[in-house]
Amino acid sequence: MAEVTMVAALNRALRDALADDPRTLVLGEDVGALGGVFRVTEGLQDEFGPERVLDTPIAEAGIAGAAVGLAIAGWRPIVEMQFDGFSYPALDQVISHLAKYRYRTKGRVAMPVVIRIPYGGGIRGKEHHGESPETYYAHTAGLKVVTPSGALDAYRLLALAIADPDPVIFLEPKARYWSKEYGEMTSDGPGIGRAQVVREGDACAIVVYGPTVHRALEASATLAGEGVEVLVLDLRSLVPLDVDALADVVRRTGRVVVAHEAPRTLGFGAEIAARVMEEAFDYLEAPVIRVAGYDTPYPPASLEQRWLPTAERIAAAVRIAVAY
Amino acid sequence: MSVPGGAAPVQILAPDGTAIGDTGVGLGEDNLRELLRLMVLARRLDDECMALQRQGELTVYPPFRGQEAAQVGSAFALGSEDFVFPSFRELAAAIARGVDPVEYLHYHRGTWHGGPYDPLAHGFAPICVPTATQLPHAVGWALGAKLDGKAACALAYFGDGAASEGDFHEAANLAGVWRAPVVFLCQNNGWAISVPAGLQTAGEIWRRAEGYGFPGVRVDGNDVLAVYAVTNTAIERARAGDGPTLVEAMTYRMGPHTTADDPTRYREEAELERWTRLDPIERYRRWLLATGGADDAFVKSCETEAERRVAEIRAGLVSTPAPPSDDVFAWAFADPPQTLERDRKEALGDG
Amino acid sequence: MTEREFRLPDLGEGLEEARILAWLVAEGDEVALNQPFVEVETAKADIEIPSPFAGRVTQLHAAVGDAVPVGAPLVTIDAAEAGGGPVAATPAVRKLARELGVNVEGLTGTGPEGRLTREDVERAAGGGAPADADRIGISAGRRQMAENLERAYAVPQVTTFRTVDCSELEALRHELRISPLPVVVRALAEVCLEHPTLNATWTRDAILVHRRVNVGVAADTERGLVVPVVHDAQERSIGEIAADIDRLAAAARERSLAREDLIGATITVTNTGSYGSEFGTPVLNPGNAVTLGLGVIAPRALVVGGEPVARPACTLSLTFDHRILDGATIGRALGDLVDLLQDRGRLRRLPA
Repeated sequence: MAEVTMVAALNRALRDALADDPRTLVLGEDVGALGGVFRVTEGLQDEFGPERVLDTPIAEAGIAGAAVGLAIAGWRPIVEMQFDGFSYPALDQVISHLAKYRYRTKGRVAMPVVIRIPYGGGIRGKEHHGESPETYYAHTAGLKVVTPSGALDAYRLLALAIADPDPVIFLEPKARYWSKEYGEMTSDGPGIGRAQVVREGDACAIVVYGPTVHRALEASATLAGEGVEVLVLDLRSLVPLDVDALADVVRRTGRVVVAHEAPRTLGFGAEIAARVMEEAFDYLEAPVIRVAGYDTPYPPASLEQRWLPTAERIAAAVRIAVAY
Repeated sequence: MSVPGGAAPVQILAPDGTAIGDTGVGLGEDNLRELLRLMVLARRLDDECMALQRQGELTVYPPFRGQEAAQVGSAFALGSEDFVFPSFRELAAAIARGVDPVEYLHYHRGTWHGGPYDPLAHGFAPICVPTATQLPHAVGWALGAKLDGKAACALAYFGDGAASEGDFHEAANLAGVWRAPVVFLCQNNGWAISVPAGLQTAGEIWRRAEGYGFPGVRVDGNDVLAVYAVTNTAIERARAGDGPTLVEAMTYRMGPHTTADDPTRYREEAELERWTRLDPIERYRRWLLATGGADDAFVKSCETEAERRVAEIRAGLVSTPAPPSDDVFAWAFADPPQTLERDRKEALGDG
Repeated sequence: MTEREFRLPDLGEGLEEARILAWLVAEGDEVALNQPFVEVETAKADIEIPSPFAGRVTQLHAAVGDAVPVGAPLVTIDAAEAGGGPVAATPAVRKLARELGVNVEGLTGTGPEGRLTREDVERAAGGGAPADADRIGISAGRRQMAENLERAYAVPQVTTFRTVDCSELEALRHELRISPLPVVVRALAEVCLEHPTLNATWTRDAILVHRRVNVGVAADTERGLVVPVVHDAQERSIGEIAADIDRLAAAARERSLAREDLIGATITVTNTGSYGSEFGTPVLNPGNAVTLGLGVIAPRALVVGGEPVARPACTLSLTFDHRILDGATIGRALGDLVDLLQDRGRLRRLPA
């Protein structure tokens, strides 16, 4: 048991996977000698060699397509896309092939591939370095989409994603890369497809994932001071979605605020709102409120705090829900 | 045999069937006859599929007429450990590789995607429609085979149009960097739907290989012996660990792009006539008969057998039922989300 | 809002007029659908007329004592959406209305922007707070607890009582510097090993007899009752159980109980003695066959060797699921538990 950053936890999950399963491979730009631009793959090439940890040319579509081919050849590739905004060239291979190969071959050819993508803003990054592309992936049937919010769960979810027989898009909230948690790194515990109540409350439920979880917890602390105890639900995986947990928190609180960085229109909050309505309509005391990025391209660093779903905006939405 | 890389395509048999190169390509008499048998069967099946489409038994069909030598000749060089990554026009190569044509044609019947044959059992990937996207798959597979220390090779088919796509360039570059055991086999059939090769690229496709660090070779795609020889050399090179090769097989798409296309709208009848005189099957048959490699009886038996086989395939195809409704849901995930399971139960009325 | 005029109807058998006895509403009042608004006298009877609309009374067209002919205007009401658009109400309020048999259409909402509230629905159902009572809102947590209790009481359950001489118990627990509760929990777990059907669950197909004794220990917090679980009590020492109970109680107070702490109880203990109760009828925790209530340990006059003596004593109140257990089985088990608690040798053989 020790204090561990999310980067260290991810690094350990990769190391453990490379050690435990000789069919795993890590590939991506700058993952080898440099250890990744965020150091998530640090030390792995030294330990496992350049045939298990490969530095690739800059060719996202080619890399994703090669991962498909490696899977056909019986390998379990773990691909890194260097940034959210640079995962787009690979979308054709991901959507047309990674998501569909099992279906197309009636289960004979599996795609046990993980694509790791640092995502989200809040780090004063350049253009294309703060995207939240989760909707594109969640909307592509055949993929699983998983996103941890803290270091220990990052270990667990990455370990589980690598072991998963289906293709997993693993979204790592880069704003939380250096956040620390104290505890044991283990893959025991809630699996992919299970949401986690990270704070109990009865006035309202805040449904969040990835980088927005800790902002929801900040908002909760402020609201507690006003006598409003909110429940915070960390979704952990967008696909599969834990609709039972969602229905349960609506039954218990009657009110839902969902928050995410991605722009509001067709952001994952739209799916949450629809599912809440489908699963727990009769328990709603107020409409589902979405707190999201605005429907514009991601703004420059100097404006991003005006755009992101901050703790203040989340708390304000909860107050509206509670007073409805 | 070294891999020549001049501007003139490698050729062994002239269009009239006379040998102008070294016909000792390393195939025994039985195999030489087998090449003819496969090409005859392929063409007969291609014609039948056009008819089946007009009869409503296939939805859309992309004929390969004229490309039999390019596909059969190249596929014939493959070994059991090798893996083919086709596009969507490689039925002749599939036949040469032993894939059941009825299963392959399920794709065109709309009864399943990709053709539901077992890709791993045949070493033949599913039909791939998004242009050139199969090329990175081939390179990844080849890298995987190399890492496993296998003496095996990927054979990736694509057309002159696909060579313009980004995925071609990324795949070629990766193959060169990784020294991957892959043969990129471009069937330059002159047309990408209605766009002629001259508008598709200003350069010559086989020359691009040099830019990516490996050899390229142009071959007469209608000369089955030359195609076999060149591909075989490239495959052996790859298996020996010497890396990729780009083979550009010059051939012609005698039919439309698909049954939904009308080529009279964009190309000249005269061009078709010119290429008819360069027919691959005709030239090879003449050479076989002239050199005693086969007799009339054999040629006739190829035709008879093709008829019989095609009738079998037709019967198998038209009796293919629609797949069960559960197939909509069953194959999306190894471990499906609960929400999909609920939808499935509701849609299928169980549970 | 539309003005609707209501004319005096023929109240029965060709009556021609009615006399106003009393107005039950005044101009400006809100009136609900079917709410009686006037009392009239006819040749045959005194009749209360219910309002045909919900809305605000804008005009009374007659005075007390006036004779109003049938067909003449009686009252004008500014009707809320009469015959117009639908009523605004949240899904939860509509559900309540369905449950109370109230038709939301025609009701006037008193919530923001005319939205129907729970109180509006309850009032229309004839409920809501009468004038001499105050309303305490029911939180979602309390509602959940109420549902749980309603479910728990659906199980046939009976409570039986035994008095325990706590001399040995008090001596041991003072030595160990703990409360009596962990000792009782450990003793109960021990008894479950001999009487396993106390540690069971009734299901539709079978009675499940659990191999692990996971003891739920009821704890009262300011937000209601929680029942965290001490797992595998049969294998643990009294000291470990005491530490676990302390940890769980602290976590319950801080609202930081983990999900693992709240699941898996196979039997439940409630320490009602901690707030002075002597004995009671504890409720079964759904899924459990037994709840044991530990009453307050206090000096009592017990008869020992024929003579009354002051001893520390308490009453154990044991509620059991009568589908699984019967009086005889419980009698034996409870007797065994009492004996264990009272017998110095047996009690001190429990791992400390």
